[in-house]
Amino acid sequence: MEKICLDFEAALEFLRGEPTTIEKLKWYADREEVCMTAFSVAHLMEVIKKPDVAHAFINSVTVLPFDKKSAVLLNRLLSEARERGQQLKVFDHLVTASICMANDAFLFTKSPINYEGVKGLKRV
Amino acid sequence: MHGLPNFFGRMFGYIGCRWAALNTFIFTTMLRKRFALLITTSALPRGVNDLNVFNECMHMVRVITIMDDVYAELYKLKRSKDFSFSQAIRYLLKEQSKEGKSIIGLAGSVSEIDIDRRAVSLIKRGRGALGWKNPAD
Repeated sequence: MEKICLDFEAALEFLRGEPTTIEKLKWYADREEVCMTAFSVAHLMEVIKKPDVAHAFINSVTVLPFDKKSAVLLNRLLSEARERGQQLKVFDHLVTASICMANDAFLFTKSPINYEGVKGLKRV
Repeated sequence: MHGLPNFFGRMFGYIGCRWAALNTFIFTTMLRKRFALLITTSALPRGVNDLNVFNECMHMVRVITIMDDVYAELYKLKRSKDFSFSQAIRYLLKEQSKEGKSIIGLAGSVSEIDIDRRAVSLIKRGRGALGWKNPAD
């Protein structure tokens, strides 16, 4: 069973009822382990005004922590991005990528462009 | 009056079939040099031929290796629910599939008015309330 890690935007789209995201997640929920990073969870709680829905959702997924391995990977990703002279649009995306890589999870995102150039990140 | 010989005939035929099935199983297991599981004749299903009995037996039991700490937790669950190990694992699998379904139940449970659009926009630009700062700035 593989880990499928939703990023903040994918989780929000799912909760909003976006049909494509629901369809894909239905497929994964039956076969794989659906996860989210601790940071995406915090963001989700920040934007959703219905705390009960947010908590129910969080309790239904595995939350991946930001740990030592993720921190080391994040540092590597930051250095690589600087070497390429890449403008880091959002730091959070690299944090999400590092947590996914540390946990050998596949990233489920609605905006693959945010993770372009991240070496070693597996996406669905 | 022919009922009694027929009955004994069937009985011996039945016992013979099961004995042959057990022999086939042990012989094939030895040939394959696999770990032999103790299977008694009473475990064999009725009314099937020898080859089917063998196949059935191979699908009835599997040996797995698990970590000590996982075993301890599984044993705790087994004791608390009065389960066999198979039942405990089946219970966990059922719970896991329920979990997947409960996520799907939450699809579309939030409408536009339940979302703080300003916070979403800030997060997308890397300026959420968590205080991350874009290192490129």
